[in-house]
Amino acid sequence: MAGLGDGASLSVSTRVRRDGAAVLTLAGELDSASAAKLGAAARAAVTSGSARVVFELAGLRFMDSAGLAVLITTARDAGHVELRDPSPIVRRLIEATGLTSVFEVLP
Amino acid sequence: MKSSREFPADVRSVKAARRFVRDTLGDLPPATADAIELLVSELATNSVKHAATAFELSVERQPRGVLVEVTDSGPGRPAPRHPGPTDPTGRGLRIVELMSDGWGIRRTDRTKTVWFLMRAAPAGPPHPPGRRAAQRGR
Repeated sequence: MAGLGDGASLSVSTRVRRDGAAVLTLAGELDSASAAKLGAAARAAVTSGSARVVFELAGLRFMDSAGLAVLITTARDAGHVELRDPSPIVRRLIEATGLTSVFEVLP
Repeated sequence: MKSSREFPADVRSVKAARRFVRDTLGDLPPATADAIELLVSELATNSVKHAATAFELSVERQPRGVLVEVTDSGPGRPAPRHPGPTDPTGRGLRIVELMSDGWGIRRTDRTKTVWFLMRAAPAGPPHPPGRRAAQRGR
């Protein structure tokens, strides 16, 4: 369904740690055009049994509310979501929207 | 100084609109430019996904900051929603409300404009600190 180029500005790679946590490493830009790509990867991680999902955000240069929606859905489905290394603006977005109680945000 | 550009009703216009503001406002402090880019993304997304129309983005440097306007031909008058922490969606305009220094909506018969203001130091040659503080003091 995704048109040509949709999601091309976001890359997602998934690995599973020995403790069972899924680690999704993001790079690029996460918005309404690329959120479905992350949503699919996160759903796959949760479906395969990970109750803890870690999003590595150091390489993410942009995220808006379409990205927040994927993170929130993942937190709801998985139970525990960790956000690592968010940029200052992503951190501000999470704090301004009061979502610090939904995610564990690590520097 | 005002710069504006029209974008088609296409989801890829959201990224193009972000790039336009970054190119226009490249001299702002990163924290300010980042916040403006985020709010532009929210408004552009509302135009192409909810209103499903093309939109015009304009960015104007003013003495008190940057005024951004997004105009589309969608119907209605959007209002910020207040989703609970586990509701995935419904945050776009609320984020504009929370992170800008002022915002609003103007309607004409055919168009809807959502604007916001982000405070920023004035562009141009720097003034001596004392004088600038006196000019800006309220």
